Amino acid sequence: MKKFWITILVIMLVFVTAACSNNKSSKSEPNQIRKEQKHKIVLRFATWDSGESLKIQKKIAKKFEEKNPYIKVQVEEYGDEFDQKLSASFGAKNPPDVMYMWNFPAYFQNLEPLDNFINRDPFIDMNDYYQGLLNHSTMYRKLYGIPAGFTTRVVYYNKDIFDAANLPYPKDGWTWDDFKGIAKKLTDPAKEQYGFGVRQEPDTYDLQGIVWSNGSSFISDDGSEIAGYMNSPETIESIRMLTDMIQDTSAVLVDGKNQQSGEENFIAGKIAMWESGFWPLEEFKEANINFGTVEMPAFNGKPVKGVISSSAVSIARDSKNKDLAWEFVKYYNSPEVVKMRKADLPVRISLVKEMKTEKDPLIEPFYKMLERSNGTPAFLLTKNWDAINRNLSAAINATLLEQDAETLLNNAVKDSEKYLGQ
Amino acid sequence: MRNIFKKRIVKFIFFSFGSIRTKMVLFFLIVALFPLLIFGFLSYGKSSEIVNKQFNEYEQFAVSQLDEQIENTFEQMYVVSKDINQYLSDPTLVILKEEIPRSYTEFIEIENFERYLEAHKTYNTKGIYLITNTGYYYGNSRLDIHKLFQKSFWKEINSLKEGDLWIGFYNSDHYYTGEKNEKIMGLVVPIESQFGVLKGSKLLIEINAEELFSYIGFLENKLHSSITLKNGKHQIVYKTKNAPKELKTDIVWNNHFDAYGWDIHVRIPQEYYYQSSNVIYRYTILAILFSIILVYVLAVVFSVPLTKRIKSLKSSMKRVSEGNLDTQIAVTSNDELGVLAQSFNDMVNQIKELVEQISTTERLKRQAELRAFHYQINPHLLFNTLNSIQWKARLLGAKEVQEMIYHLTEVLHENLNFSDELIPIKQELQTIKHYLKVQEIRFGQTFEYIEDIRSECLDYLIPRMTLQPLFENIFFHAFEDGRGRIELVVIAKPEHLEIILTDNGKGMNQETIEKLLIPKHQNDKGRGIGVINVDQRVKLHFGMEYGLSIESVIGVKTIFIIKLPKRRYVDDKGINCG
Repeated sequence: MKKFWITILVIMLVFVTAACSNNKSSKSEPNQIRKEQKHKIVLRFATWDSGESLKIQKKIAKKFEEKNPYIKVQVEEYGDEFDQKLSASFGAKNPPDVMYMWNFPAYFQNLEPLDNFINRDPFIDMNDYYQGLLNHSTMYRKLYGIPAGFTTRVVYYNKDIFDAANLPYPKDGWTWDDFKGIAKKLTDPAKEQYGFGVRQEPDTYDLQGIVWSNGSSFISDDGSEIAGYMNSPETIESIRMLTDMIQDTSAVLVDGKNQQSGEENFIAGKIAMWESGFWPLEEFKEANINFGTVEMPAFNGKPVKGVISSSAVSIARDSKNKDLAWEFVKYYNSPEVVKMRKADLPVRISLVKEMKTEKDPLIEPFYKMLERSNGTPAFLLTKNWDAINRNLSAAINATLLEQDAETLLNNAVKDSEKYLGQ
Repeated sequence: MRNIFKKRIVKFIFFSFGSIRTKMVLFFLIVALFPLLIFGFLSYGKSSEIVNKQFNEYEQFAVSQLDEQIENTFEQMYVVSKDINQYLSDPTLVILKEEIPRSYTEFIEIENFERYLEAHKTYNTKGIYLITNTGYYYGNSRLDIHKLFQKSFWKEINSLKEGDLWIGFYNSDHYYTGEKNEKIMGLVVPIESQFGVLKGSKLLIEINAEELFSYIGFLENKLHSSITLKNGKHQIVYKTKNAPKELKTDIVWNNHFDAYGWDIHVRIPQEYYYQSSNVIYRYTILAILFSIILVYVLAVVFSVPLTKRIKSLKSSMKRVSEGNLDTQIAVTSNDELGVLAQSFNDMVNQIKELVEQISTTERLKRQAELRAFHYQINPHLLFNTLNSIQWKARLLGAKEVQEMIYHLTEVLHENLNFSDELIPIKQELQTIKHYLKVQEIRFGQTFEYIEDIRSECLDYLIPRMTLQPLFENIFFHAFEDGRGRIELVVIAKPEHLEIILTDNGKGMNQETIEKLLIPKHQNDKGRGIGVINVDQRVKLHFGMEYGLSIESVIGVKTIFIIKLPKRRYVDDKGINCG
């Protein structure tokens, strides 16, 4: 009889445990998922980056999640379709909570002004940010984005080519005349080596620094006029300077459709100098070329001006978790995150000092140019800059193909005036 | 499968246990299994029907979603391509004089055209490009046209005729920026315009197919289906990697897009299709197996004590049947089996007693027969001789001798007759008369014989030779020289008959009486064989309650009392015959 009860007991036990373990295995998994879905707040973060930068941003998101276990950061990779996807999401009133942003005139109405957050938050000091960067995310005196990264434009030069020509390396304070002379000396068409590379279809935004340095601009400071600015003698001179270099073959056109990019040419040693932002620096380092950076040249007797390309992080007006989004935005410029973001130049003065970023001779010119960048880019001054810019671009593109700058810029002004004051 | 299993279990029970246990197990099984089987399979049938239906609908929905997704993508690309094609076929709208822009107006025109292309982009459009015969293209500058031309599908593109279109999948590695391994669905159509640079150019529309592939991935991973996509030329555009072997039992969906000639082929192995109902099936079987085991264990557990007792009863019976009458069963309870055991014990005891009785009787009978055998001297020789002597005596005139031999012959006749065992009293009395005659001739008129018998008693039956041995005993032991008095009385009592034989001879003490009546003393000196014989024969014929008893006073008298049942020859023929 005893045996019987023991057997019964054993059988019961086996079945109960089997049932239990079954339950565990079958239930535990969905439970966890449910927990996540139930208790975690999802914060959406849209980025235009891909590759290494994207990987870093995902790591940042993970770190933020570790610090805030109740939040899940969903990194949304919009890549090249950033504008497409962002406009669609704003249109659908389902935008990401936090996003990278540069084109504030186009989107600021969909973004949350951050001044209230800044005033309420004792842990953020806006004086720690370079003022020139803050200007870029301000629309109608309201700040719509906290700067995340920036670049100014400098001249990269191939030290080996300079050494081979027995030329001293260029130094800050050099002029466009110096530049043209050097370019000419470094040009050897037989070796397919040119002093400088000019983009076949340059972004007019990038040209602003040169135009500003010559004391002009594409548009008046109040954004109301282009006549006398876009076609001013100084602007024309700036553009002609580039076309002249092409005409005397000390510069070569690069970057066009179906053409090698300027960076490829620079790495290949086909151009000795290349004007660009911070982006190709890592690429050049990886390519193991012997290069240096230097401030942009000045026009005789005039101060050098720089143009900033900045990126900021913004919060969508339709976000449902603005406070959390603000925490993430702040975290994005915290020391630990800035140290992770190798592809960006730090935007906080204290961190630049602490990390001695500006002491790096390759990076120093970027910060020097930042100090010289106080102009307001044209797109921030008028709503219709896109339309005006199309004409300006066509004019400059055609100019670079050996047509007269003055005529074309006059045409562009004439064709664009209708877009002003609307 | 289930039947085989059941059979096996039954077989197992049959081989390992007695039949009661088997019956009990079977009984339990039937009691437990019938409802379980009925409810189990009813619920299995119903729930699997519902689950299968739901899964079927779910699956069909998923497949139709994929259909829709693909068709929508086609539709979207197709509409965009139509629109652009139509726009390009109107020479007043587009004046692309030079392939590569050089002048301000050309730049403006191309810029406007590229904006027109860009304007057709929707949420998941990767790129829209117009690619000329020479390899120049319009559209944003992210496209690396050389890498595009190296792609294998581009060779087909060159042979596309007007009105044809090409749709296919490829990776996004022909872009300067962005992910290189994004899945892209591309549509290529030749431009119908015959003007200038547009002649022979192709329109390329690319749509990000990641979402489409996430659908495909869902179908492949979650529903275990394998998917084949074929384009209009029946070329396989996409096929699930590591797809399981195609079986006839697979569930298959086919869809054909007439407009684009594509075929979608979704195939799900049957096992996955019926996976959920299989789970129910398995659990039902498991429950049944479990209850079979439980029932088996319970049946064994309940039947073991019962069958053990029955088995011990059975083995006891077997031992009894083999002759071991000392067998007794321990009575442990007072339920039906206990009562049965008790009755069995009683029965065995009774049988034992009876067998003892019968064996004693049989032994005596055998002895009697043996003795009878001894007496079987050839009677014919004896009687013939005696007759000869009788005749000789008559011839010689020795009347006394002749008479003596006559009476002796009569006595011997009776003595040696073994046939009729039971005879009427009167016949026995006849023999006694002859015997007494012989004694009279031997001793002379020395004794007195008195008979007091009612005539109705004369017909009662007694065993042959009942009285004669007693008379002989009187003459040999009680009387000296035949002197004395003998009294024979037959009394019919209500229940039985009593024959009382009294003599006034020497008498005997109690010890002698006992010796006379107890068989084991009989062979001391051969004395008293006759007396014990009488007693035993009466007992043999009529039973133990009848028989001979002796009372005696030494020197005065001896009384032999024979107790007999009242039986008549006519009334009880049956007994006579027996």
